[in-house]
Amino acid sequence: MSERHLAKIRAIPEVQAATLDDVGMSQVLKVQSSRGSELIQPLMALLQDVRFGGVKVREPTLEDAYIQLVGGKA
Amino acid sequence: MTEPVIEVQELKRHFLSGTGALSTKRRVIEALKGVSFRVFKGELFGYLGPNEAGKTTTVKILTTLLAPSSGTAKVLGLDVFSQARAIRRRINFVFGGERGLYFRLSGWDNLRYFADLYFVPPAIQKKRIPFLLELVGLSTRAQDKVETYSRGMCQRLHIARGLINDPEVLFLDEPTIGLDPLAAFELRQVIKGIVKEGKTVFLTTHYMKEAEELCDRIAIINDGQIVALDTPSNLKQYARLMPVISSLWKE
Repeated sequence: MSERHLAKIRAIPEVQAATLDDVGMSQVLKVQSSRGSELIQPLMALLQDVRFGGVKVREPTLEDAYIQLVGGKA
Repeated sequence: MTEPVIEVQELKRHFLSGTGALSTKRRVIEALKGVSFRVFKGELFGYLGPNEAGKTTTVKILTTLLAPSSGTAKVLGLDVFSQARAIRRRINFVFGGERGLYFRLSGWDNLRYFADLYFVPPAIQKKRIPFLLELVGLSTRAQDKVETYSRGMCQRLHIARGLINDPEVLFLDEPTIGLDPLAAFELRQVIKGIVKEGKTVFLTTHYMKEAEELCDRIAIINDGQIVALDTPSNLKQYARLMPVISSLWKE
């Protein structure tokens, strides 16, 4: 996956943040959005030329909210 | 939960800090910058925030150990500054850590000692002490010296000590700090039991899962100001949802 893909994802209006991390031989894309699982389909469309292993949606935790409220990065 | 037992309005507290023994340079540290909230009867109210956010300052003011610089704070309808003595009889507090117990006395004798300090009549002590030891799971070790207790047991004894005067409001300032997961779990069960008894509990903690599990409502304080106050489930909405696409293969 390239920076070009990442830029396209970040350009989606409801996407608040998107990060790409190298983990061993693979990469992990994290996307934060108020649309939750509804965002999966448009993301898939943008990543048609990328092979991926899995998708999961994580609900926000109190810790996510806390970190955001006290000024850290969620 | 309609009757407010704690009412805080525009509460401020500042400290003067000097640098160096001979220096005359003084700076004002604003620990609380106008905090307002209410806690209702029977509620377990969480108070979360990073270090130096103002949590302990708030607890100290509400427990009458510290005077506010301005604003008002009432506990059980009484002013924390002008009616401190009346409040002290009806509340109690537990701070994290092992200090505050007499290690060469048994758990039972510690509770008897603190019961005397609160003028609890002997007839009531005879019933209340075994009840509290049972509540915190220390009945079988009641006659052992506290110096033989684990940290978790000390903290549970602290909770029993905090209930010795049958307080209407109990303040718990980071009660599970430094406890192993099992001891912290056991203490959380004790705290749940206290709320079932109808007590109002004001809890400060750094542990989010603990707050989420225990609290009816949570205030988050940062830099001396409350930045959010809501139920745990509503507070989560402050965070963004997070779809994660994992294991993308490198091209």
